[in-house]
Amino acid sequence: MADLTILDVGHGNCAILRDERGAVVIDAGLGVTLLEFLEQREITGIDAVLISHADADHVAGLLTLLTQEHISVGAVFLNTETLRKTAIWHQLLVALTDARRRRAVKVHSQLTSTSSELLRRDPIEVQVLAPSPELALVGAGGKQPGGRPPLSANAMSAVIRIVVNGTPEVLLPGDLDTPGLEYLLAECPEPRARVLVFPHHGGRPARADPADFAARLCTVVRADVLVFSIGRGKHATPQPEVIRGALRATPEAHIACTQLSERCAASLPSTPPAHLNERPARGRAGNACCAGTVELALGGDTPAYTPARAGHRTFVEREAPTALCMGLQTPLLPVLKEERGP
Amino acid sequence: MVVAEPEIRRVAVVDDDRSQADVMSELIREAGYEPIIILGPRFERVEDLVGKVRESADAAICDHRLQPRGFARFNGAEAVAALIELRIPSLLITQYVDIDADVSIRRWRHHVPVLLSRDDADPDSIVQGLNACAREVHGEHLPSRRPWRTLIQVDETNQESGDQVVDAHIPSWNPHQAVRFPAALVPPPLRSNLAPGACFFAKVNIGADRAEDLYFFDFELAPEPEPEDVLLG
Repeated sequence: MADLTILDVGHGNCAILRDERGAVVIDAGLGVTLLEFLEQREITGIDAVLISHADADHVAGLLTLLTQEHISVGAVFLNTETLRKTAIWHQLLVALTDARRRRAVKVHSQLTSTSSELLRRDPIEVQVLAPSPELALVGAGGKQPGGRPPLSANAMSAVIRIVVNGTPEVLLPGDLDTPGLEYLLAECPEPRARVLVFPHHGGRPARADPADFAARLCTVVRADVLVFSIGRGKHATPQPEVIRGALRATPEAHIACTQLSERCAASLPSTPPAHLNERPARGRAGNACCAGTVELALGGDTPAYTPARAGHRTFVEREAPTALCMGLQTPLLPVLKEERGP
Repeated sequence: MVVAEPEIRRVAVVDDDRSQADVMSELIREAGYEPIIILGPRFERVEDLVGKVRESADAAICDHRLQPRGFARFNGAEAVAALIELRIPSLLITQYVDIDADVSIRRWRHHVPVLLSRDDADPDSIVQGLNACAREVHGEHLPSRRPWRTLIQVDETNQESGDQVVDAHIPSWNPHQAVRFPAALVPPPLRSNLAPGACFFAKVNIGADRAEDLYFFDFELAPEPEPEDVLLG
């Protein structure tokens, strides 16, 4: 039996694939939720860590994970972001150098469509749908032909798809934006999946229209479940236009935000919600979870996941008077000040 | 599993300001404990104060600034750390959180389970705080108090009130907020490496929400990526 857990790490991303062979971590956001999860599941060995791109909300947790003496990490896969010259990139190089020298962690300096073969674990395929190896050679911050703006790290996000027995189960596209979606579709015109971890936490997709971007992405993925990995009070996600576009394309989809957006509920529940699963969730202590951590059983005939849709819906109806996911039928809150963020 | 805690009945009040000690005694009584005010004069050594608390109470609530009025030659954070080492649940209280948390409190914070702002002191916060202290002396750390080995990058070193201090980032905790700590926490042989941009590994309770709750220990110099490293940019 295999499962995939999408952790509530607040604003950021982190998912863990667990099967009979071991575990793969996809992105490692801030905080200790990943470490608490590994402890709860008694996981002390990670075969591979895949980093979609080197923004702090996707990679900062790796700086702690790699230094845990009780956890072995086999390999780390990521694409270069040297041209961006960010602090987190330098910090990551230091941590990788230490991990490679002292703990023999294999560092693979690409995570592209050619990496998929290295990541096979029958019957599960960990597919890397984008970027292409040529795009990765240009690298985030690199120049594009035709006078177009430099490649953004978000456009370069590695797009991971988990396929079990030929069924595309989950798509994890990092912070993919509109140019990134074009690159993805050039490599893989039908990136279908039952579950989509919506890119960039439901924030704005670069300069494109958020509703159009969301509708286009949801149309090609055709997911039954859309997970938004958000932190309440951070960056005002998800954007209402993103939810509107997603529901336009897939009106029946279950929208599951990890935390309860301030757009959906001005105040938090006074008692702990009953619908959450038992996995660690960053929002749990402060009653800030909406769906919390989402866990999917892989390989079944139909998607099976917790928290169950019915229980989550009851919670939303009771605790989120302005819930965006309820079809945007309620008047929107005044537009919140949008912070610029990763 | 809930660990049975030895019952706290008498709570020592350590404060150089008698009127503050009287106010705290009232709160302690409302919280259901018996207050024991520890009177000076002047404690020269931490052990003297610790001994006095130990012989008269089961727990303590200790003010941080004990020196200005000549009550003690050390501060409350050092006293709490010594009491905790002896497994006496002890809570640190101050009205100077913003001013003292970074340096004089952080120096001992590893062994100070709870820092309570005087503004937040009421019977509930006292009961909760003492219970958290009691659990920690028995090895049960709240998630916000649990240390994890992680990477730290130095921004710069400075002087504050005669102490050398380090301003640094702990990216796994918050990549966008700098934190100050006393250089005294870094072992002397490593202090010459405290240059801007230098990276260290240390144990830090990165599950804490607030900067004032962070503590640091077990510093180790991290490697600089060298030219032969494949990944050097």
